[in-house]
Parts: sequence; C-alpha cells; structure tokens
Amino acid sequence: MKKVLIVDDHSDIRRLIRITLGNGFEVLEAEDGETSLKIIRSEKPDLVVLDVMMPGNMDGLKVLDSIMSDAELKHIHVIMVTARGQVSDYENGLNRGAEEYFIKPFSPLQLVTAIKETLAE
Amino acid sequence: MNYFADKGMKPILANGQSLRIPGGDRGVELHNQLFRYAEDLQQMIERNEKLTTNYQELLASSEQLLQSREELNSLMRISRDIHILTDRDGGILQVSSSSEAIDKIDRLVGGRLVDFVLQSHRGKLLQMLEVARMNMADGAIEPACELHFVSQRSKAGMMIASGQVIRVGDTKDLTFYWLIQDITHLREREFESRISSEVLNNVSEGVMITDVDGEIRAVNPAFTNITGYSAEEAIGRNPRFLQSGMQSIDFYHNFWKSLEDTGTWVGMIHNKTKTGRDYPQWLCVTSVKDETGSVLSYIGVFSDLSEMHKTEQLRAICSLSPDAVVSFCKDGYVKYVNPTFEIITGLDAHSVIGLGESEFTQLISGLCTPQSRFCGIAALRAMQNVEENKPKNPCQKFEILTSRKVVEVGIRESDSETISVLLYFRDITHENEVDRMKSEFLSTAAHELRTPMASIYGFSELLLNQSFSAEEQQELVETIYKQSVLMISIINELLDLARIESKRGQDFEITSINIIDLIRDVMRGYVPPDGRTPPKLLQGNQPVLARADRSKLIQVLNNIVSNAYKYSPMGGEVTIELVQSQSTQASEMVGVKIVDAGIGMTSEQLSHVFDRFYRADTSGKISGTGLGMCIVKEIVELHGGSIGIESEIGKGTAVTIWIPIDTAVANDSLLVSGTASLLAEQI
Repeated sequence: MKKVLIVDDHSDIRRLIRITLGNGFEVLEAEDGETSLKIIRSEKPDLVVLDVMMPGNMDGLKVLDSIMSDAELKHIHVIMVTARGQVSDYENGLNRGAEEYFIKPFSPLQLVTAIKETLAE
Repeated sequence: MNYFADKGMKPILANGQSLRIPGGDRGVELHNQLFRYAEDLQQMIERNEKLTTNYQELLASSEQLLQSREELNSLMRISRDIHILTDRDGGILQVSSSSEAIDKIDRLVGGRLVDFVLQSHRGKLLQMLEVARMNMADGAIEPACELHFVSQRSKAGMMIASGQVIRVGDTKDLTFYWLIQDITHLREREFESRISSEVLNNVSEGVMITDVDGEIRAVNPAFTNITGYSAEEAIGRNPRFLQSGMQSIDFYHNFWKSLEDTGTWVGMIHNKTKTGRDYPQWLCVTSVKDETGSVLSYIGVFSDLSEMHKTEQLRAICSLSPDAVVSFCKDGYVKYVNPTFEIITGLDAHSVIGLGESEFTQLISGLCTPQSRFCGIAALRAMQNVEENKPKNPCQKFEILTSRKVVEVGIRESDSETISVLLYFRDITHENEVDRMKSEFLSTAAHELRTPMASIYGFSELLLNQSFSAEEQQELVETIYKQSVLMISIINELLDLARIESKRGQDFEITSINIIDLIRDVMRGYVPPDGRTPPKLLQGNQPVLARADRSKLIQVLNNIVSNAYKYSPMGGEVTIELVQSQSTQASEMVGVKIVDAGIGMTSEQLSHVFDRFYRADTSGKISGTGLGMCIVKEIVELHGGSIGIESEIGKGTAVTIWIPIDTAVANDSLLVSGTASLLAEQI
C-alpha cells in the first residue's frame, strides 16, 4: 500500500483529501512544515501533498527544497496544493521539482487522479 | 597876463594914460622892438606853461603804466591760466610761470607748442594757428577750442584745456598770444555729474532731494515709477503728501531725531501711491551738510518692498512645500533648493547649489539603489519631448539607498528670465507603501477566500460523485455550511473594513452615550458558547457619558467579547470592567476592559494582533477571519480613542478600549452626583 502524506494547516482540507483518497492508501497527516519533514524522514512516504502557506518558519517551498536536496528523499513525489494562485508561484513550485500544482479551490477528484497517475508511473 | 595891450599901438599905462615915448622915431622903433621881444617872451612863457602841464600829465600816465604792468605781471603770476607767446610758426617764445600743468613746457622755450599737445589734437592746434595767420586781423580773437595737452599730473595723462589764440603785431613781426585755460577739473566734474544723473535716471530706487525746509527739489524716474507722481507733481511739495497715515507720530519723531543725531535714517515705512495703494518702502534718508555743519538738503532713497514681499512669500511657500524644489538658472546651474530637498535627499544645500545639470544628475544617481536610479535631467527632458502629445509632465521614480525613500521626480522647463529648469521631487514612500499594502491585501484576501472555498467546492464535488452514508453526508454538509458561514463573515468584514477606511468615520453618528447602559446592552445581547457563563460586569454603578457611535461601539465590544470566549476554549470567566477615566493630552477618556482566562498570546503573536488576516490560532480549531481586531482598532481610533492589549501565554488576555468622555455633559453629571453625595452626607 502506497503511503501518502497530506500537509496542510487546515484540518478540513486534510480531511477532504483523505476521504477522496479512500481506502487504497496509507494516509498520513501533518499540519505544518517542520512536522511534515520529520514524518517524511521517518515514514518515507511515496507521495506528499504539500500546501505552500503554513504557519511557522517552514513553508511548503522550503519543505520541497529539503526533499529535493536530500538524496534519500528526492525520489518522493510532491504535489503542491496551495491558495497562492499567481503564475510565478505555479512556475516556482514546478521548477523546484514538484510534479503537479493545484490551486485552491481544487477538484479533489482531479487531485486523487493525479496522485494515482503519479504513483503508477 | 597881458603886458601889452596891443601890438603896434602906443603903450598905455595901467591908469589909461598913454605912455609918452622919448627919443623920437628911434625911440619908437626901439620901443616897438622891445614890444616884439616882449611879445615873443609872452609866447615862450605860454608855451612853457603848456609843456609843464604836458609833462606833468605824461609823468602821471607813465606812473599809471608802470603800475598797470606790475599789476599785469602779478596777475599773470597768480593766474591759473597759461599764457604763451609763440612766433608765426608756433615756436614758443615766452611762457607764463604757471604753465607747470603742461609737462616741461617752461623748459622748452624754443620748442614748438604743437609738440606738447596730444597726438590726436595736433591737427586742431595747427589749424588754429593757420586760421590766426591767414584770416585774422591784429588783435582778433577766434572762439576757444578744446585742446588736450600731455600732462603726467592727471590720472588720464592729459590736461584738458580751452585754448584761444590772439594775433599780435603786423605781418612782418607776427606773434601769437595763446591763452590756455585748464578745464580738466571742469570736465571731470561734468563727467561725474553726467554719470550721477545717468545713475539717478536708471536706478530702480526712487530718489528725491529736498531743500533744508523739506521742499522737494528733484526726483528721479524711479520715484515716478514707484509713487505714480511725476516730477512736475512732486517738485515744490513737502514729501508729506506721500504719507499713508499708517505711521504713528512717534515714528516721525524718531525719524527726525535720528536724522538730527546721526545724519541718516534707514528703515521701513508705509507710504501711499498716487492711486492710493499702501505699499511698504525701504527708505534711507541722508542729510547733506556744508562745512559749518548746517543742513543744505536731504536725500531720500527708497525701494518698493511689495515685490520683495511677494518674493519672500514665494520663498516661504517653497520652503514650506512638502515637495522638494530645485531650480536651475539660465546658465544651467543649480540656483535654489528648498529645505524639503535637503530632507528628502539628505544633501546639504551648499553642496548642490552651483552644480551643472550633469554634475547634479551624477550626484543624485549616486544616492540611489542600483535597481532604481535617477535617470537624469537630460532623460527627463527627452521624455518630455517624446510625450509631446500627452499633456502630462514626465516624471520618474527612484529609490534612495540610505533612507529607502521612494522619490518621484518631475521636470518643468521655463521661459522666464531667471530660471531655465525646475525639478520637483516628491517623497512617495508612503504612497508606494500604501500601494504595495493594497495589492498585498488583495492577494491575501483572495488567498483567505480560497481556503473556505476549497472546502465548499471539494466537499460538494465529493457529495455529487461518491455515495456516502446518511451520517457521513450530514457531516460533509455541515462542513460545507460552516465554511460558507466563514466565507460570509470574511466578505462582510472585508466590506466593513473597506467602508471604514473610505468613510474615515464620516458616517459615524456620534452622540452622548452612557457607557454602562451600552455594556449592559451588549451583555444582554451576547449569547455565550454552550456551557459558558455570560460575561460579568465587575463594577459599574457610576454612569459615564462618552462621545461615540452607538452601533459601532456595540460592534467593537461584541468583537472583543467574542474573541475572549473563542480564545478561552478551556473555560473561565469573561469579565467586563469600567476603568477609571484617564486624562490624555487630547481629552479625558473612559476605558472598558475585557478580560479572559484563555490561552493568551506570546509577545510575538501580540505584535501581529492588528495585522490583517492574522490568526493567533492556526490549528483551525478556533474559527475567525483575522479581521476582527483590525476593525476594532480602526473604529476606536476613528472615535479619537485608543486600544491596549495585555496578554500572557497560558494565562489570558485583557483588552482595554479608551473612548473620549463627553466633557460638556460629564461636568454637569459630576455636579449632580456631587450635589447628590453632599445631600446624602447631610441626610
């Protein structure tokens, strides 16, 4: 069973994605950047759904950079889900190594389809 | 005396008897002979008498002549004029002693007069000689001519003389007498007086000259320009007719005292023009005295200060202007910078004045951040030319490195006589910051709206596409509803904030409000969360009247009370307390303090409380928009009040709002309560 980590400071959004993913995945949750990185290191999820703007010192982009710069983690797939809708944010995320970039409000069904396709590759 | 009565007649004696002559014819002949001798003698005596008279006359006139010659010699000695005798060719024969004015002339008897005249005047002298030689009779005098003699005694190296030539003697023995009068000083004085009158006619200062009695003798054209009175209208009058009536008697008293004591008076005086306009005048009066010290005349020199006052006003406007101004003179150098320029750029005026356009451009560019440089005067001018079709004046923004000030610079070119280019700099740091904040606010607001929208959109999509149990469905719809409520409140509060900011309190209906009654209303209307006790009023028997908008103040208190409950999820009492009035510089204030025993805030969190969309709780457990406290602060401050927050993490938060007391009514109520307490004491 593939492991998916959902990182978002809003519990409703985490619940939305968890419900949409259904029972086919092992779903982990983190509510800020620092916690997410600890879980990533310990649990080595296959895919991370990552929010950009989160409280604390570590935002989603920093988490992404940490994953991509770590040889042991860089194989992990990252899909960004964020309320930041500027083109520059979108490009910024993809350039740093994210597979997909979803802007809130997003379609949970499309997100799950993207997650499944990414993990199937 | 007649000794012989008649020739050829018998002598007759004095008594009338004829003389009897003895001796006959011989006797008569002898007698006649004798008679003839006597006649001759008589004639001789007469002649001698005549000669004696002549001689005496001659002697007298000779003495007279001698005296005249001495007088002439002494006259010639003391005469300032130069007398020269030349031969027919102008060779100098004789020179009077007072000729030192002409260089070495006395040493050069035998030289030619023409050699002592300036090169340019030699022709003239030779012509005078020629005229005298050919056309004039002896003793004739031609009109005087101006001749310039070489002289080291004057600064100009010449002596200006009026020369006359007189022809003396006949053709054979022809000499010329030259009368040379030194008129150098006369000419100099003429020149000086011409200069003086030129100056008088052309200065912008009005000048009037009065005699000792104060009657105007002369005025210059500037006098007419300033006062409006022509010379004809002014001359002969006392300058009193120029008075405006705005000066006191003391003023004129001091005026004359200074004139008598020091000989001058300088100062400002208000006078009136012919058209009746009062104008300030800078006047300097000097008395002119003779050797004995008695006043001959007074000279008044004055200038119209009206223009200067205008210039000063312009200067004052420039120096108070919030925009920086730099003007370049016609020659392209910085002529003036105002104090605001110094403030904006941090440059000293002295380091800028006198710089050329390119130097100035270099100096300002050097102050800028590398990303945002001053483009320069030439570039601004070029923009102006390109944008010919647009009426807008070109401007450019740049940022100063040290102060981080954002400055907008514009250019205006001038056709005026003194200024060629005017640059104006505006400190737009604040505007720029406001613009930046606005766009940041918009993007933040959009971001904040996206989050609840993501739940609403996402859960409804799930509900449409997947089947859930009735229980699950209920839960999902509840989430959608909850997020919709949040979204509505964000929109409402955003609109609230926008309205407050645009109206700036103009829509507030300020009335006198009894704060205690208002607090009680809020407490009655507030529904505490399930299981929580309603807020408690700690003290509040003393009625206090505040000046406030009732509905806005209710909104403020509701917001704070609601926060107090939200941020104390573990329970505890929420209290409301009326804080004793506090005097500030502006006015007396009454405070309302709302205290909870909740989660509190760190000092870092506290510093962001009034930031828009800032939420102390980020867990999502406590709902909110992050706009409530911004609205509270705006409303309180628009009332002229203030807000204070004390908080300790884990212990709770106390928010105090201060609202101005209605002093007009407060005094009365204090009086009433004072009287009441007095009455109470007596009873």
